[in-house]
Amino acid sequence: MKKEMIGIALRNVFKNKRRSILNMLTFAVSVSVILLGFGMIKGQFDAIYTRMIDLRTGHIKIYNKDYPAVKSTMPLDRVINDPEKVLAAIAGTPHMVAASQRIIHPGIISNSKKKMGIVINGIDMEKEKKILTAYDNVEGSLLPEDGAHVLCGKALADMLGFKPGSGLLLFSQTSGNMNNLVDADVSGVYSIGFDAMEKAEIYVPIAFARQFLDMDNKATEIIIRLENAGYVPQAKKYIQQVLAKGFPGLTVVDWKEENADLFELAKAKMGSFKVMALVFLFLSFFIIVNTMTMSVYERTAEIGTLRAIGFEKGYIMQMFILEGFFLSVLGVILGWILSAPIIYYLNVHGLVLDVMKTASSTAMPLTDVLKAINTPGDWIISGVICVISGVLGAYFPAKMAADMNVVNALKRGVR
Amino acid sequence: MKKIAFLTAGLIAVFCASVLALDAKYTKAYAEDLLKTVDKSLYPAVYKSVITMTTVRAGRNPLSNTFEVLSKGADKSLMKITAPARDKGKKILKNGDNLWMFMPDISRPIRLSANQSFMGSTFSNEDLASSGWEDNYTAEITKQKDTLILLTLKAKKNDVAYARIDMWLDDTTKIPTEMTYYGLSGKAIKKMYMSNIQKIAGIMRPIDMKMDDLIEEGSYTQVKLESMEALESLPEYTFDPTQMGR
Repeated sequence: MKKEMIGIALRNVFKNKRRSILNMLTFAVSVSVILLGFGMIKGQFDAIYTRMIDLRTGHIKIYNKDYPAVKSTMPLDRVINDPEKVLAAIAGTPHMVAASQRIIHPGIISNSKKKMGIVINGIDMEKEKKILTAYDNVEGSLLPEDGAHVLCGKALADMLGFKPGSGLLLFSQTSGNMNNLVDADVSGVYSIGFDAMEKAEIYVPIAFARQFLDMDNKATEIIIRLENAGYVPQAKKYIQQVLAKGFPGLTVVDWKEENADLFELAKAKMGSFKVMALVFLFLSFFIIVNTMTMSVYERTAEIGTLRAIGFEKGYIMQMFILEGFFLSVLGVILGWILSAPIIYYLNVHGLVLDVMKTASSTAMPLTDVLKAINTPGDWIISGVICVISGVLGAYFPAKMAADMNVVNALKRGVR
Repeated sequence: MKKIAFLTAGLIAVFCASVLALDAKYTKAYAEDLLKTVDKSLYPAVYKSVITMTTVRAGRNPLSNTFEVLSKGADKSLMKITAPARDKGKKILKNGDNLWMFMPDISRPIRLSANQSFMGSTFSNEDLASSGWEDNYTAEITKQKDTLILLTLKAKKNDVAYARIDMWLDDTTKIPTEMTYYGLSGKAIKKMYMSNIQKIAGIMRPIDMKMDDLIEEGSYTQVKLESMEALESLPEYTFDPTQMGR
């Protein structure tokens, strides 16, 4: 490509300043929207995954092989026999912070005037404290080792008028499907700013759960916390090897598999954002097609002259495409410069949310501060997408200019 | 003073003993036979009946349904909803330990859990589907009050719905008047009252039943037996889940 061609293209960009600024601005907006959108969606889901790990799933879970397929019904007949033995066997898992056995089963809680469906979580409180953060903010006491004591969520407590020390009725079916009802009391009320969980999940000592649900020495799952999520593949592999040797009836599930529905939701949300980004790109594409076409019409005489003095069709075409390329590159750079402070703020400081008020009614747990996550790759991808759309947008007017009849072009120019 | 207290205590003890003392005939064998008779006094072997069911829960509008019931033995029954119009056409089938619900909008029947509440009522699906107490419970007469006796049923195994059922029944009619259902812990969960004894389908049966939910004060389900007809037999396909749409 000759230097003159680049020079002419650049000169054309700066010749009609108003039109070029409009073109650049559309690219600047597109690149900013793509960067911000990707960053916020990634940040939002990263926060949700972190909260799910902290509040519900831990990093890894162990189940009976037949349990995951029917997990939603929370059955008591596909269990881990002798969970203490399994816990001892996986004690050497690399980077493990804690592991604990649990029993999960649906039930009903009542203040004797009103009843509500809940999920009973039989837990080992001492170990669970090291695994989940759900127990960090408790009014009253955490659970003792045994006894008919319940840790319930604030939303449930508000609905049923529970306070620490309140009496309640707890109903469920045992492992043999026999109905069971017991008197219990509220040992504490936990607050996590996530209504859906606060209403539905109650915790009881695992020893009590075993007695209440007639479970002997069994558990429905083992939950494991690692130092961080990055160690999951290594720890999962180790546990798989341990289970394959001594416990072939058990299976390992990591937090990603455990939150598969959330991943689907994230994909869907990212998909709908991509549609929005496409709309912006189309807008940029359309504007550049439009302005370049105008430019071709305005410069008919110039094109005719260039063709008359020997410039080839390909040269003319390349000149206009280069013009589109420069406009989009400048637009992208402008977009990067304009959005950089916002993206920096959102990545470093984030949006501060009052989780207890705003996020508590959502279906997914949010964090107090919602940060965007933008990688260098996001900057490059958003820029490349915009430049491609700019070049494509310039192609049709460029072809139109190149295909112009020289005599007619000169005639129009003389007029 | 001491003498008066002693006398009062003695009188109470004599009174209680006279009220609670059991006749010699109320043996274990008598109780077991009685349980079989009770099963039969409530439902004929094969029958067709119409019942209305009204559920009342605190703070909610009462829920009322009318059903046509076809039943054969202890383990097969088909309930068709005939009213209200919005639920008309829904069917609930029990065959052995399995339960299905058919809704006209959905072509295939849906499996139900025995533990689930039946149409939002105080009854669980299992409560309605189960009879045949003699198979699942041992019986013993533990109290007597005139002609009323308390039949205490204890679960033979741990895979039945209730650990214990206390059934007050009239020894002359062999019809239960009150039943209390207990969970594994020994705490009462539900209480059923049977009243309005009338001759229907050949013998005297309770027409009205009321099941109180002891977990939620003031919640109950009232069942009224509108009609009952003993049948010779019912074809097997009546209880085939693949035929529920017909």
